[in-house]
Amino acid sequence: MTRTLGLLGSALCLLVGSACGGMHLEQRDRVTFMRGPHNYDFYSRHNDPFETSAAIHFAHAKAHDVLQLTPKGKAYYHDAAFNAESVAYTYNPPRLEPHMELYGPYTGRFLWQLYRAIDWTHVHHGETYDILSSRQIDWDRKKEWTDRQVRYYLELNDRARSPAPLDVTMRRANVMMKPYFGIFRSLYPQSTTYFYVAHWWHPAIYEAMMLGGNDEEQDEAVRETHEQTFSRVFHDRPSRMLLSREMMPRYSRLSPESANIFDNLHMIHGIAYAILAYEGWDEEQKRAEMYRVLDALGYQPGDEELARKFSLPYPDMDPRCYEGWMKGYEGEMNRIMEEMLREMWPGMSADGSSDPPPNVMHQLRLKLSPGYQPGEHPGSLHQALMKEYPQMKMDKEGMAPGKASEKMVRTMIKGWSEKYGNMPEVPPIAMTDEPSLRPAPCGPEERHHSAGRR
Amino acid sequence: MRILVITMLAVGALAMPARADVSDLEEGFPTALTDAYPKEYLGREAQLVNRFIRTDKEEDGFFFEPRLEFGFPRNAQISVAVPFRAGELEPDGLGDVRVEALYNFNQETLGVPAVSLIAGLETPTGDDSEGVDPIVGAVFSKTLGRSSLLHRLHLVGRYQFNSEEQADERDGRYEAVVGYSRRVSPQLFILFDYLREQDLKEHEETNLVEAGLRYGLSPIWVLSAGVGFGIGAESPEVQATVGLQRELLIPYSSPE
Repeated sequence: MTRTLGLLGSALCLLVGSACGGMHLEQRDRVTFMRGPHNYDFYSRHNDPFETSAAIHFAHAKAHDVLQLTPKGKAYYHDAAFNAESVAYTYNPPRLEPHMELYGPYTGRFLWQLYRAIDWTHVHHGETYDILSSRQIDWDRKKEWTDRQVRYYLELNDRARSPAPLDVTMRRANVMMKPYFGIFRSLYPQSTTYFYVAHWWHPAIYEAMMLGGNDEEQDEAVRETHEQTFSRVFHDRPSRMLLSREMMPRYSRLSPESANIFDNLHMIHGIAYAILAYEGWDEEQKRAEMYRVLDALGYQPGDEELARKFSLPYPDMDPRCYEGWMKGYEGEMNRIMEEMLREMWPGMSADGSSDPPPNVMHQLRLKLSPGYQPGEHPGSLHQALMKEYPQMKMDKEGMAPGKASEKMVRTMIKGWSEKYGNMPEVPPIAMTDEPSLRPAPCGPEERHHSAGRR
Repeated sequence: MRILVITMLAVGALAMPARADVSDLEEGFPTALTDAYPKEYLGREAQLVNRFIRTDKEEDGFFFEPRLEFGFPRNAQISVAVPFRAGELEPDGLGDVRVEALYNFNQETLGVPAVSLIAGLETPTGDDSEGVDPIVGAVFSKTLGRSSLLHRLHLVGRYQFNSEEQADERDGRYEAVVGYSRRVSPQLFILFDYLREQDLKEHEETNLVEAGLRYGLSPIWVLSAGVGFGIGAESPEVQATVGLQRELLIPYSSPE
């Protein structure tokens, strides 16, 4: 039936007279959200954060077209303009949640599967916020409903993000030596850190709900955390993407699947922006590469088994405190990147040495930091490493759009298995008793203070 | 006019949170223009068209049409519409109940428009109505340029077969709409179109120029309002439409 309809569609395309030959036709295949007693409780109960989420998603949507349509030479200008526009939207947000096509219609016409993956995961964001916000779902039933939403998310859309930890999916994706890697971070530092704030905010709101419980303390924790975004975080932005396990350890214990899904989505944003900002490939090549990465960071059977394979560096963190460890280079994301380069290095070094030399690691650290740093070579990570270590061996085919070096992927997955395959799983969190909100364990320099509030 | 007022009051009373898609054009909300994109799979929506019509003979009447729309199967939607007429419009009362499906073949690309086919049935539930009339049609939508404002052109064609042709009736009638839509703000879309349609009665055609706004009141409510002016004889002098769409949040659904 579907095939017959597809043939009929192709025939109609020919009738239209457009050049259908060679075009990549795909269906929209959008799916509605899961119905339940929680629907739109985040909107109703925490409307300011809901609108901030809508503003962030505006920025995500529009970034696609800005990056695709802006010449590299104009990046310095459009970075400042786009960052300013995104911040302005965040301070004066839209009332409703946009889907990606609404502000990024150009990219949607050649990377539709990317938009399917993002929109669907934003729906998952919305619904899991709704479940935690819902007074109709008792605290001890939050996990049941969250798990139900995770199943709905994974089963109804074949572009669902993986519930496996980013450590595994990034190794599957093998993007570090691609000619676009690092381009967005280097050319668009202000926009990059806008999204780092966004990816601070999203998990911080989950964690505030986890601290507050179902009663009015949830409102208080969410309000304090949300206000801090504007009073502190935007003024002193993180310089790396924070992972769920860092920013929402309690929620990550409640639903590691959901936490990993968000990391895999947030990583997709960054990779997509780098691909779009890269000028060396045409749209067909960008699609081939983007869809390969979507598959690698997407749900694959068996990924659930790995969901709890991560550790919690700050299990007692409080999102109402904007602490030093949230801002710097050192953290889980960059640890994963450094590990991957070390695992690949024996296959890249001219003499088979097992560890990258310090100057190579130094360039990686510079490339993983937003903007051009003193001593950083321009271009992608690959270009920078070639300048530091010209004899580096490269798999040319693995650098091509839509391709990956299978050998390197196997090497990195093996590296992860050896290091973490037997690690203890992150423990579940008890949800039998609703938590009681305690005073934030941080000083005034790490915490937002609202006039007249505790 | 009373119906319009009641509708506006109802909107005010019911306004609350939603995810009805303000960019998803539907026939009647508030003009004849639709786009080639269906409702999301498993989505369900209650809709109400309220229209005031002043005919070329200066008769005033009201048309309203409650509808239920379902996103089913994937990339398709099915709607059931129950029209009513009141005032000086003839025939008044219950009109012909219509079941219509739209199937979308493709997401548009940079070169190829989105293409959908329409198939439906109009059943003789109204006074003076005979036979079940099949409907076929097609919709094309194409986004223009590089702007983020989502400038879109749409072309809609429908043909309704008259299965039991009466005296002075055609054996079928067509409807064609060409229109344009764009985003004005995050919550607001504007659209313009030109409609030409044949009446089942021989030698009668309607030509309308229409403009409308679609506004997202909340994640589940979309309010639309539009106006159309007739061109030439047999066309309504003017018509004004207020439409309401509400995403339905029941029944609860989830895989167990």
